[in-house]
This record gives sequence, structure tokens and C-alpha cells, in this order.
Amino acid sequence: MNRQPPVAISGLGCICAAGGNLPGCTEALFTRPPAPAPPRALLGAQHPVFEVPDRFLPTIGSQHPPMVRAVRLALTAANEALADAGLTAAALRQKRVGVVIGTNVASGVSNRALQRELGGIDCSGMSPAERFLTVNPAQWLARHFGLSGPHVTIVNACSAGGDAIGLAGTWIRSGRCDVVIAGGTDAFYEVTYYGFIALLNSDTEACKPFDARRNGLNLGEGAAMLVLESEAVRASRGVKPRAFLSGYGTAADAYHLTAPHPEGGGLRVALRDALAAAGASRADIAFINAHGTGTRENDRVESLFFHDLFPGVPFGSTKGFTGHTLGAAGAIEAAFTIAALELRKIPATAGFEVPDPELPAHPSRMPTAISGTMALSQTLAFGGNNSILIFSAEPSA
Amino acid sequence: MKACILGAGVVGGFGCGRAALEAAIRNRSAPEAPAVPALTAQTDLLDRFVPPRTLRRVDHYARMALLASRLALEDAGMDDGLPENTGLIVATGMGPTANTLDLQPADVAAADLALSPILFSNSVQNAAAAYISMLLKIRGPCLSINQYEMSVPLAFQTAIDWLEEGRTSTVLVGGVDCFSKALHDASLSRRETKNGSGGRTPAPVGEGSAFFILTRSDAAGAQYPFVHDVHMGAAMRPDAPPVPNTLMLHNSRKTDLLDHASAHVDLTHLYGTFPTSMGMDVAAALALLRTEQLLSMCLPRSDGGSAIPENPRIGCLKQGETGDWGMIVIGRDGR
Repeated sequence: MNRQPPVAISGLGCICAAGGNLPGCTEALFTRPPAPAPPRALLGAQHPVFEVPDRFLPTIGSQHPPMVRAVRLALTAANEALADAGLTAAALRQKRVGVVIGTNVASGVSNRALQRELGGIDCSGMSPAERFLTVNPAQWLARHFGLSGPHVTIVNACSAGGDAIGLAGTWIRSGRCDVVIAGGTDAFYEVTYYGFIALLNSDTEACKPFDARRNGLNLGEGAAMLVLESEAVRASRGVKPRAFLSGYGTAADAYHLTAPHPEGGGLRVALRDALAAAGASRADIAFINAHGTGTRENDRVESLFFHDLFPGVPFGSTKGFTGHTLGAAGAIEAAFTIAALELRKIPATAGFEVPDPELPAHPSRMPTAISGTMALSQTLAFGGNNSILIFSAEPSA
Repeated sequence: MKACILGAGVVGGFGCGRAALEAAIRNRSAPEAPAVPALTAQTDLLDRFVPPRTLRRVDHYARMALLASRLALEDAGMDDGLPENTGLIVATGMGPTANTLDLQPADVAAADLALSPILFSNSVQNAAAAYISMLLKIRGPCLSINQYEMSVPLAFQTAIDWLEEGRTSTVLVGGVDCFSKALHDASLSRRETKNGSGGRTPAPVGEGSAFFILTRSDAAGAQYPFVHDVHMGAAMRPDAPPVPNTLMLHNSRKTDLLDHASAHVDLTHLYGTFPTSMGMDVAAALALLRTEQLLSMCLPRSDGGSAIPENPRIGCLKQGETGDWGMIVIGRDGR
């Protein structure tokens, strides 16, 4: 992997159970986590989830095609990120602007509303294009903002949001785009909910990442968007970046459909490539936002990875504040990582109380001050995908 | 940077492998249209490469992608495996649609929805990439993208990006889509009814997979065909695709972009239409560039017969329902 120039991040937006915008989420991270609850739409369901309260979502008028919830979440986060970057829709239309969105639920036709239409009688109002626009978040955002640049939806399961940000960096560096709106989005989806229960990966209580009593994840929903800019555009606008995307590495385990490689095989390759891209070493990393789902295997593999490669470096999981937001997780946690770099402290790992004696490294139990200007956020996905993003407060390590 | 194509694997309604596709082009032989109509693919050949026991949980969608990937390895003479850091990009328009729809019957009450963990796993959009990665031991970067008809050009663009930035030296890139009668009934047939076929005989719906092994042109010999360029255009931008010097393979119901092409041909009667069928066009372009007789058959006849330029380039053009378009330009070799 060649060293890559850092890419400026000029705007951030986030919506999840912890808050309706990034400042709200950040405040929650350092105060108290929201409590997960059984899904509102499923009577009798037991396993708790982190749903976004309706009051966090701005009111929208009627839309055609109808805006699915995952797109609504994505649009809310994108509006916040663009405002944060000081970019208006009119300004965007003067530039080559790309959109890269990671998702799991809002991909293709994995859509229960569509299924209901197919199972019923009347599909007359649904052309393929309309269906596509209904469920494809990258297409939706590009059309909404009137953007003519490239747009793509990444469907890498739980690492999709992180991979979207990594690909956005490539689009900026290659000169293909002046600006890229990149992130992830996912909404609560009953098939996924019951799917994780079927896989025995869902906790019946609030999730407990890295805790001895951990027994699975809680699903969540949300979206986060980052605005990445070329140096030329950023300099011409005279804006100060909030952070830089310095490195991105991704690698497959080639091991198992639903379980991570026991020694973190792909994760180690992803780290090697991310550090090489950033021109950094492990010693440069001030803290790590772990994937930390609360499942037995994920947390065991990550703990081993931190113990072997980052001894003494503080790490934590924010899943106890958001639940596992699947395709949005990599993006939401990227936003949290940048916010922590700015605040120079990381939150406690909500749900972590009892250290697991079988794990060699343990997350922060209290908010922890950090020193250094570079941080790492990692995601591990279904199918054995591992992705790592490195963010820095300064353009170089 | 040009990316060399070391090998190609295809699975479709015409059969499996390069020879089957070339034979279909040569004989102009469209497979018999079944009742739906849909040109569906058979994947029995996969048993030649992977023990059936290993495949028992792999669904048809992933089997097609896996077989096309394995055939690409064979075509490239890489039966012993791919290089250490090979990357993988899987493009799909529909994902494992049929599987997903099977998973969520309309009359199921949410509270007692009991899912099979295997069916659920196979419904995840990157399931095909996961199976390919596991069974072909691909441990480099791995990406699944879903942008309907634009998925294949975006996948090729990303593969070239990866090669250029040194993320990997080799990429297995391709597309896969699975026929779904429910979706066909709901939308595709209605599209023809509503909008007509643009004066063309509508091609049958198809399914299949096409995969390619790409490497940096400076790392391979000059004898390989190569991806000369990938062009993308947006509906709201008035630019048109460039005209290739030899032929345009056209794979869309819309025809307005064809005004700019001096010669074009539609081969979708051989493999049907589906969101990622552009991958089939890329494989067909390779076949045409490999065999002048096939290329001549597809060129318009003039008084002096078909003229093939010294450095022939074939553009594979896909225009989406939204008006976005993508074109992959394939050249014969790097000499």
C-alpha cells in the first residue's frame, strides 16, 4: 500500500439513538447512554434495540418516490454535515460532488415495504427506477442535492459505512471529485432483527461490550455523514478542517461467513495497509474506537488484537450508546472518533462493568483523556470483512 | 493507467465459460426462451471445482458468482490460486433478491417470524463476496456495491483505483444478478408495457455472472487485453459517452446515447437483460477482440467488407433507467 495524502474533512453530521445531531450525540457519550427497548413496531418482541426517537427526525412533506426511513436518516445527517462544512446546495452544484453511502438494510430491494407490494396485488405505481430511488441512499442524496458526480451504495454489511468513507478518500485523491458526501445509514428492519436472533447473536438485555457477561448485540439505527474536500477546494473556501482522513485499510478474513478469524487475520492486514497509507506507525495512535459489538467472538478477537498490537493504548466501544447500526456503524463511529479527537477524551464503554478474565485487554471504564493527534476506528463485518480508518487532527502524523 | 485483463469467467443462459459465450456469438444462437421468459443459468459445473458438501449452504445467487470467479481463474491460468493480496469487488443490481423475498413471506406475523440462520445469512448483500473470498482464499480488500445498472462500471472504476493507489496488485472484479420472477412480474414486464420497447424487440430477462482478473498493465505482458477507460455520466449532465473506434456493445432499453456511435450491436438476446449484464458485454468484447471473425460478424458491412482498425477498441455501454450511463472501453492489447 502506497502512502496517501490526507484528505480534509470539513463537515460532520450524525443521528442515532444517542442524539439527533453530532453535538447531541457527543453530549450523550459523556453523560449517560440511552436505554435500549423492545422495538416499537413489534408487539411481544423481547430483544431490546436502540431506535431513533421520532422527535430527532425533521418533518418532511410528502415525497415521490416515498422516502424510506434509512434515506430519511441519511438526509438528516447529510444536511447537518453540509451545514457544518458551510456548503449550500447551490454551492454543491458548482462542484464535482460525489456520494458514497454504506448500508445494509437500505440496499437493493431488501425492503419489506416492497415485499408487501409484491405479495399484494397492485404494483402498478412502481417502476424499477422508482423502486431503486426509494431504497438506494446514494442515488437519493445525489438526486436530492442535484449532484452530477459519481454516487455509489456500498453493501459491505457492518463495515459498509467505514468502507464508504475510505472510498470517498480515493475519489478525492484521484481528482474525480472536489467534494464527497460519505457515510452510512441503516434503519430498524424486522428481518434483520429476527435474523440476528436466529444467529444467536442478540442480547436479551442491554449489550455489554467486552464485559464478562456479554451475550450479544443490540441492533440500532442511525446515520452519519462526513464531508470530504480536496485541498484546492478547501483552501479556496478558507475553511478549517475538523480532521483529516489519513489512512484506510480493508481486508477479508477468508475464514467464515458469520465469525471473525480467531487471530484477527484480516484485521491485521487492514491495519498494516491503513498505517502504510497514513505513513504512520502504531505508536502514533492515541486511541481506538473498537467495533465492540458485545458478541462473544467479536470482542474476544478485538481484545487480542489490541493486546498484541496496541498495548496500553486506550480503546472503547460506543455500541452501548447506539446499538449496532450495521451499515451506519463505521460512519457513526468515525464521527465519534473525530469528535473525541477534538475533545481530547474518549467516553466510557457503556455496558462494560465486569472485566472478562479471558480477554487480555479491556476498554476504558471511565471517560479518559487522550494525548496525541491520531486515532483509529475499526469495523468487522459479516462475511469476514475488516476495515480500519485512521483520522488525524493535523494533516500529517 | 490501463488495467490488463488476465482472465474472464462467465455464467449465463448461454452456458458456462468463454468457449460457450464465443460459440453463442458465432452461431448467433439465443438459448431457447423459457416460459417466463428468462434466460436462467446453470451452475452444475461448480462441482468440478468445489466439493458439493462445501456448497450445500450456498444459494444460486452466490453459486453463479463463485462459478464465474473460478472460471476466470481457470481462464487466467491461475488454478493454483490468486496472489496474496488479491482484491475482490462484487457488483450487483438486485443482490440476493429472490432469497430475500423468500425470506419474508407477506402473511407472516412479525412476532412469530422465525428465520433460518442460513437463509438470513444468504440474504445479506455481501454474501456472494463472502463465499468467493472464503472458497478462493482471497484475503485482500473486499467490496460489494449495489448501484443497479451502474454497478459494473463503478466496480471496474474502483478496481482500477485500487491498482493505481497500490492497495492491491490484482483484483477479481465482476457482477452477478439472480432472476426473480416476482420482480419480473412486478416491474420489468410492466416497463415494456408502459413505455414500449423503443422500437426494438425486447430482450428476455436474464441472470448470470461475469468476473474478470485485472492487474496493472506494467505488471503484465503486453499481450493481454486491457481496460482502456471507464466513463461515467449522469442524467443531469449533458455529456455523452465517447465513441469507440471500432464498436459499441449496447445493453439498454434506452437508445438515445447511441446516436453518437458509428457502429453498435446488442447481444443481450444471448444472455438476457439484468442490471449487471454489462459484465457479459465486457466478456463478449474480449471474445470479439480475440477472434477477428467474430468481430467482423458484428461490424456493419460496407462495400469493402468489415474494416477493423489497427488498435480496435470496443465500448460496452449501459444506460440506466434513471438516465445515468457507464461505459467500459476494452482494447485488444497493450502493444
